[in-house]
Amino acid sequence: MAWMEWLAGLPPSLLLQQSGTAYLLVNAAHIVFLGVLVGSIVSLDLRLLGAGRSLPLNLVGPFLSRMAAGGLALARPLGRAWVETSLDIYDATNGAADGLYTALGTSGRFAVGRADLSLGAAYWRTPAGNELGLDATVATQIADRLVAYARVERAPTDPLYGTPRDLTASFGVSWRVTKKRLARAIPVVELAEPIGRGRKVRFQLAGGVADRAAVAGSFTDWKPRPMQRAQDRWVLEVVLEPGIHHFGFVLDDGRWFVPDDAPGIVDDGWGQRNASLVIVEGR
Amino acid sequence: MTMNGLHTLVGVRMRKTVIALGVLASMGGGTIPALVERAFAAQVNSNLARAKAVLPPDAMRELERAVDAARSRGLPTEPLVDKALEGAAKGVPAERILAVVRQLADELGRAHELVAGSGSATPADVTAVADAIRRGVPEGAVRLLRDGSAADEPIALAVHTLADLLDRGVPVDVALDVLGAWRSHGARPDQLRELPAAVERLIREGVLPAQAAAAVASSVRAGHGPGAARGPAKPAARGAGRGAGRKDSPASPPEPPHPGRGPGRGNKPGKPGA
Repeated sequence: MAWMEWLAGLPPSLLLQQSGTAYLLVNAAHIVFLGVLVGSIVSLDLRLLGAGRSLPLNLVGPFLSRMAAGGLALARPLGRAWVETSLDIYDATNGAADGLYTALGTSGRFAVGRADLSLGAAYWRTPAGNELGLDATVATQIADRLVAYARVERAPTDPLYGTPRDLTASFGVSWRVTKKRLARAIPVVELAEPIGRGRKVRFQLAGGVADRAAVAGSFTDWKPRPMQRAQDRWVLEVVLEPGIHHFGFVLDDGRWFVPDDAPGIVDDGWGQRNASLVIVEGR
Repeated sequence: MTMNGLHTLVGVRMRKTVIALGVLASMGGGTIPALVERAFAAQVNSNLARAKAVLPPDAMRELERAVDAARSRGLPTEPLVDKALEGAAKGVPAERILAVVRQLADELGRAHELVAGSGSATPADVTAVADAIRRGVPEGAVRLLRDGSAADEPIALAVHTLADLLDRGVPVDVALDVLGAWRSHGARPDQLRELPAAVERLIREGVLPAQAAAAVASSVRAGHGPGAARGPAKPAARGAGRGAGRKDSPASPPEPPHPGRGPGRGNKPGKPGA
């Protein structure tokens, strides 16, 4: 296939074809990381199924999970950085420069103090040849709705529109004029007024989530307590004593449900999850 | 009676009152924790009775054994019984319920060791720390949180908030810094609850989690509160018509050059078209 030929023509691929040592090292690394990934997952699964009970799950679980994640190249937010890779393939047919355009790209976004740095690179294979595109942008907030930025870009030749390869630099200020937001989602839990040592708590779900909804948790002995329908939502108010409370929702025919935006989501130990809430005395 | 005599009488009566109050206080000092403990025990016994109704006899014996073992180690036992009730309500087989109960006992033991250094740790604190560790909070972070805590600080809520911040992708050191900022400015529990929400708001605006948390910490330190935090910039939007945060479609065809278009041309570095 054409895209495979394109891959074979990339400089790293050519190196692997020509150098036995490079191929050996890359293949070994590939096997090692696969082993780390699969080995960690299998070990964790065996422990969850009950093997090696003497090994505390709260110690080996996080370690094995991290090992598995480390063995796999992932695009994920890392708190201070976001890195992703992509492979784009599209077929342009406009009579100017028909053909297959493919790009292998990588981009990253990094926090540098109060500034945001974005870097990108893409290797383009086009009907007119192969070229490298690069860009770097740094942006920093200078006021509530004002962002100052600087960008440098090396754009490859564009055969479709006849623009030649060039290097551009741009500077500017971006002003967000309006600050409209989408309507807020219904909060799953709202804390109301203190009652005695505890606190009244309102549990809520969007009305469209089910025909019947109930709350079940440590404060109901895990028996479903039916919620009431109020306009666009299901509601139940409960007074909770100080302490930590686990809960979830039971929908329709008994399906256990915990919304993604529920507070304090924690694994229940049986493959499902609970939400959790801490009530502090008098607060 | 002379004034001096009256004062003496009042003084004696006051001394007697003070002594009586002191005796009552010392009795209460020993009695009240005992009453609370009895109340907890009554609650646990009540829950055990409910567990007996839903668990098979041999599983019930194992549960009682686990509860007794936890009690002898000074661990809270209500979470264990509650876990068994939860499993029964969710239709989990008895042997899996017991496996998780034993695991929870281990976690409570570990949590108890971690918060033992802070003299005022309650059963709720131990349970909350066990929960936080299960949610991925490193034990070292719990120790740091414990070491810096004041006597009346709600450890349960603080460690729960730390877990909430980590859930949002905030690195541990930055999350601890946020809590440090909260501590240094009044340590109000209601403000503690606002911290994860403020970080989440900034993340939804496109700020990276670490920067969002740092902005919240700065806002708290400046005395403005978590809700006033403003994050640093997102990368400048590329091209008119693309919404902030919306991923550029790799499948979109090349676009013709457009005068006055914003910084950058197209979706990818060097993408054909402008």
